[in-house]
Amino acid sequence: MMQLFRQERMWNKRELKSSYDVVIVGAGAHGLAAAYYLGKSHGIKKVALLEKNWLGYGASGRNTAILRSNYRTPEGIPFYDASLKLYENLSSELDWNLMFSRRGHLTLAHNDSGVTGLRVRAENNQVMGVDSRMVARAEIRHLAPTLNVSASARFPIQAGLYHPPGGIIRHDAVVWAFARACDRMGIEIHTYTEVTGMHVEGGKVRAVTTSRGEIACGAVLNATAGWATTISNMAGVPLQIVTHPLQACVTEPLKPFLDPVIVSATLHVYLSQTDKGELVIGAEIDPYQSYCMKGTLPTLEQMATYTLELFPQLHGVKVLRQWAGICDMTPDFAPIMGASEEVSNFYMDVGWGTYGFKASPISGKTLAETIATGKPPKLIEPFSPSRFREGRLVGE
Amino acid sequence: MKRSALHHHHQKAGALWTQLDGWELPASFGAVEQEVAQAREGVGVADISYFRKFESAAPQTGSWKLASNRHLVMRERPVAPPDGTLDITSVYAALLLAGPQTNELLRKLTSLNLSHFANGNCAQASLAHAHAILIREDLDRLLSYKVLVTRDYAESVWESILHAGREFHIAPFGLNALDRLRP
Amino acid sequence: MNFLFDSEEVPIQAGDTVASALYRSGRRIFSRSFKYHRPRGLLCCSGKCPNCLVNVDGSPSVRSCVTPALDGMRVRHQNAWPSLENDALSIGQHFDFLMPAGWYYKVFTKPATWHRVEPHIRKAAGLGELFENPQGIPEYEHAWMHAETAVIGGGPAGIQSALDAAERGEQVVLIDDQTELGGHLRYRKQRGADPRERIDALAARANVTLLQRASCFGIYEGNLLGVLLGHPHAGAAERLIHLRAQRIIVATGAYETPLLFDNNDVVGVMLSSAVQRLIHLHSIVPGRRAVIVAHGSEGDEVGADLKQAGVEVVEILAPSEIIAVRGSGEVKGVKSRRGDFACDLVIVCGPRVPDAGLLSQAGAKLQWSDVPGAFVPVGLPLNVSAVGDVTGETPVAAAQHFPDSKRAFVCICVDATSRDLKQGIADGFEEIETLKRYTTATMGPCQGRMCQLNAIQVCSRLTSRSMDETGTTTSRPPNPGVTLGALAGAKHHPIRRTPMHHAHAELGAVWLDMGEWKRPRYYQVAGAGGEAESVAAEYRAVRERAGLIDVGTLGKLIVRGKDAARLLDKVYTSRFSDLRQGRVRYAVMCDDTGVILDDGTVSRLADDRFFVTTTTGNLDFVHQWFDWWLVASGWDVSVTNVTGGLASVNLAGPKARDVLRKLTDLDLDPKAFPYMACREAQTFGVPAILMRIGFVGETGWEIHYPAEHGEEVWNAILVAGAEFGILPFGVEAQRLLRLEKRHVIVGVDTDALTNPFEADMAWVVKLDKEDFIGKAALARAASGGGVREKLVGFVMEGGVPEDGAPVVIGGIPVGRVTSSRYSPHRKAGIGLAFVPPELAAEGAPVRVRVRGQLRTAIVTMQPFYDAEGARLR
Repeated sequence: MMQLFRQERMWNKRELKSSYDVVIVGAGAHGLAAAYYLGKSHGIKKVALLEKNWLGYGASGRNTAILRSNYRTPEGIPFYDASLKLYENLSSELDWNLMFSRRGHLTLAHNDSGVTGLRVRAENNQVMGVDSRMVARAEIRHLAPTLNVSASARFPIQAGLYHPPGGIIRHDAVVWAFARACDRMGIEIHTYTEVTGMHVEGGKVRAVTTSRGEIACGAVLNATAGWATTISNMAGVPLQIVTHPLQACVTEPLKPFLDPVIVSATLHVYLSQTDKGELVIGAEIDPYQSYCMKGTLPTLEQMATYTLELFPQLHGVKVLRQWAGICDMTPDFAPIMGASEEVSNFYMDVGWGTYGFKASPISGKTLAETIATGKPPKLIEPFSPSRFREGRLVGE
Repeated sequence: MKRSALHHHHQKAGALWTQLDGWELPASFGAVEQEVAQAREGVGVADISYFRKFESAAPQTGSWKLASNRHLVMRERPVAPPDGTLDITSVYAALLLAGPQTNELLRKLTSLNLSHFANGNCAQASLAHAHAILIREDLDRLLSYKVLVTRDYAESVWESILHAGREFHIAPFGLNALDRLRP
Repeated sequence: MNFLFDSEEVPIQAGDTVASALYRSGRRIFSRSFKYHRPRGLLCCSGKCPNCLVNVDGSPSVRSCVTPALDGMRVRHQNAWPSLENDALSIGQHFDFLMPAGWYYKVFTKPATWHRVEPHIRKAAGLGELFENPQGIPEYEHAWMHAETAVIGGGPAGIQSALDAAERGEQVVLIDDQTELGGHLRYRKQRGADPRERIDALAARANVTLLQRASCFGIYEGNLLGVLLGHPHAGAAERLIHLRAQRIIVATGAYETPLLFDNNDVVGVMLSSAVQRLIHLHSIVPGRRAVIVAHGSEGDEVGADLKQAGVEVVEILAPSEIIAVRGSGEVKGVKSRRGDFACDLVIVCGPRVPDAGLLSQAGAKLQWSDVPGAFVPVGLPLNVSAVGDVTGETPVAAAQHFPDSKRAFVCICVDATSRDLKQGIADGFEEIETLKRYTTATMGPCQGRMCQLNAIQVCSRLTSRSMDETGTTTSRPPNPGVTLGALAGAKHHPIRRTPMHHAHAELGAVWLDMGEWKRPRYYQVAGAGGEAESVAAEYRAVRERAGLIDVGTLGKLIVRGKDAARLLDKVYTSRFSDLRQGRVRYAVMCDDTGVILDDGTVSRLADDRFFVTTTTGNLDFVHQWFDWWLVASGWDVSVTNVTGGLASVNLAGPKARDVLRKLTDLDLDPKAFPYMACREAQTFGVPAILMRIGFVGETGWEIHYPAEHGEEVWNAILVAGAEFGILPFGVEAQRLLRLEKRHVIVGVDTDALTNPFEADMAWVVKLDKEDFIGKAALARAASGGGVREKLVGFVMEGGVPEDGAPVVIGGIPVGRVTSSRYSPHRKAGIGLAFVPPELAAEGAPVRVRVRGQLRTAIVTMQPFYDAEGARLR
């Protein structure tokens, strides 16, 4: 309570020094988490985070803030579950309310192949100890009384996948809280500082050129999303990534209407209700490659069409704003984590597609360990950059 | 007896049947005068799926170009397929829209720029969420289009047309009215 | 004419909005604010602020000041209990010192505490509520329009631009969101000449289309305007128009925004343009005694209007002179540096902000200009121009006052005060974008319309930066907000139907969705049990007698031309150039990484004519794939999609031949018509393609005939088969039948990474063929590399797993069941599953999860039924 009356800046502006042990490109949730764990778990504090815009400008400020661990593969499940467990206590650890609201996560299937897809996840989740189960229409009605489960819908709901530990969080708060914790350790956050090039010599990055000057570095971490290939190209590291826009929108605030997060695997729409009462609605990625971060009318219309399939009573609710982020898609819907094979001190935490935000704490923790010890923890070995060459694609 | 995809819709709408070239078709829906008037003053729609259609790799007399190696020939009366063409009569359902308000109706169903669609031209566009071929062939001075969609989409598209056309009091018309509307 | 507000009847006069009718009837409190539940009244009267939001006929947060009042409307207040006059939650404002900006981040840091508190915060939050509209869900529609010039805004500048464009002979669309043209001249007559003549001139032009009561909510890529038209006709509530224009002229004008002083949000504080609207558009006397807050002589115009309407103008104060408004519920007076004045109206002449959001969306930059004292649009893209007040040509009120106070509201949507913004900046959120997200200022229903300028001014001053350095937040569509209903339009999700659709309905089909297609899952026979019983009966019919299934959703292509065989050889993994006329072959196509794309059959009907089938839903892709490889090949091939044109059935069972014999003269003897042969012949008098293939494992024919005979022939087959006990069967029975024969379904038993070697289809890959798509990758896979898992059959030692059940080793899922059913033939659970390659051996035991328990399954590479295929041949 006394914190209310504290006057203290969350983070401070710093002068850019001439060298750092670790330079992190991208001060989003992932970059900040990596810096945090470098400082907290490994005592490495001579770290600079370089952010080309204001804090949270990129994917961290654009995502729909859903946390869950009901993934499909034996590689993904424990990874995302570790992240969820970190999130559970992160507010306490960072002394900042991240507003993690564990309201349950419900994925719906509207046809046979959809139901089978959910069942694969339910079963794999249970085998690996994640709270997740199939639910039939009667229970769905109980979990979300406002949802349209009638047979008269064009694509009636057949079954659902219920994941009680899932929920939503205040994405901006995660960025701010990590930033403050980093700043308190003396780790430097440099906003409006764009990376424009890298000096690679003898198989290592020696220096990073920025819009505010050049800095020598012991290691570099690419923690960008959307610009991952741009940054990696500077180091001469190729990435198996194509970039697509992902759109979302928000409605005016309503009195509490919906408890769980709702995802429709078939209709490619998902939504949740914030604590302020707004409905945040998201779509699937746009079917073309682009770096444009503007919403489009056809996608907005599609989000509305499918939202009304699920909740026809929302027809009179107004959308106030639409936006887009850009997603780096890998061939196997799994991220690329670890040291690059080409440049030994160039580390990557990229390729996060549409599933990056929920992995922020665990990505930071495992990349910090990778950088500090030189070895990636077992948890992220399946996401190694070498897997494409070795034919070990993750089946997510 | 050949039936169009819209057979059951016509039945429900009270069609009075006739036979033409082996097809069972609506001669009228009970009020030929009204059907003609509605088409002349507002907009009407008829099922002309019995028209013959042929696909050809090379242009033919009076054919429309759909793609670099796909041309469409449409003939109202039965003819043998011209040489080298494939008979695709069964593949497409065909509708005829007529009336001064046809464009207002179509503007609710397709993003095609109708103000640049001259008489005698052909275009392809999405119409009521289905791929459609549109051919504008006015009946004398009465604005008119033929709309082709694959048979499996026919009922959905017909329903969408009738729904969007409620604003204009659209009504289906039969072969008798069609004869009267022609020059 | 009247409407209901809560339980009160409110009379309507011609031209009334819901808000004007309520105001005339004496209502002053229209809503309660989001955070502190402070009473709020009319402020802007132009649809830009959140104060007048009410529920109309079940739709939440409707802006009553721009919504025409209609007889019989049911209007309700929002966000106040028990009433607008007495709201229990308004007690919160007395604890505002405990709830500064960001308070909930700092206080509830323990997850357990937050978990307890959150439900209460959720309940108190939100504005709108959903009630059912007694007339049901209204109709919404979409429409498309094209124009050479689109003019947005029907004020004097817009009217003139439209006239000029029309005179140049262009097709013009003029969009105006008011009930009639004229813009601000309708209520600020002093500002210009009567536009009536020019309005009439516009109406007379055939090349001008006027969209009245239509608001442009966004400019999208490619000069696409989103326009929302209310009540387009009696049958629809809203129409969303997609307007594509070659040139766009934005004439949206400038709108008035509030000033900052203590209690600037109290009921009775109104913008000058708001009272001018009430007076001139609705003939309403807004109050009795007014104090005007204006800079210099800016207040003279509204002062004259007030006097003419019979309102006493008590005093005109400069913005720097006013200290606070007195009165907690409604205005009682003002406290100023020149003394206290009693009044019931405080009329604010605020800065007029260019309404440039659309221009910003179109790509213009907003640059601060001291002369008008506003952000003006610069750097307009090609084909977009701006005219009138939106360009900042009219100077706005200069010197404003920026008190640091807990009662000077910057953002009335979220109750963010200037003190809150100061707090946020002190906490380190110095950029307008981070300050916005921390305080949530500009993030409410008005999306910054009323508050953005003041928020930027406060931020600029407190961070000692210029207005340009501070910058603006991003304008995003849709603004004004658009309903989900209008965005979705007429609810018409297409259904694709086979020619026998209605016949199935009459037979009691229970439907299944496959993409847009509807197929019978099974037939519910009256008196029989549910799905399990019906499927069992259909299964028995096929195994013992005869069954008939509609397979019309299969993709069908005619591939013809001199080089047709070459195309097929190229695209498929096996050979078709050596397929004899009258024969059928199973066909698999892969992409260049060797992944299976689709499967089907190829029948050779003539030397240069093939009939190709694909899986349901994949036709469009396969057709494009064929066309893709044809381009630049120079080959003489035509590919025609005939899917919808053919009715297709599979007649199968030991009696199938007996049934078919009654319908065709074709010699059906096994020697004359062997397995994997095709013929063209009349069936029931209709030309048909017949293929002897066996997906379900019995003697059978796939018959394709013209769709216009669909129901006719279907019924004829059922009639002919009646004496043998034929039954129609659906997809579910088909799945079981084919599973017993171990037939793989692409897309069910394969996924986006499966190659033929993994799917146990090595025999279909002809690596000795000259060249085909995927050959290189498949050659590598054949030599062992790149096989991550293998598809095997299995028989359960008890239990039946569900589709998707995992194969488990050591507590890790290492594989999964793709299809599984109880086999009446084997009297055990059977299925197909992906397992690690080392387990893909005849007789190997694997553990499969069934209802939470691990059960044993024995791997088999053989079909579960008729392994030699004797029944097929």
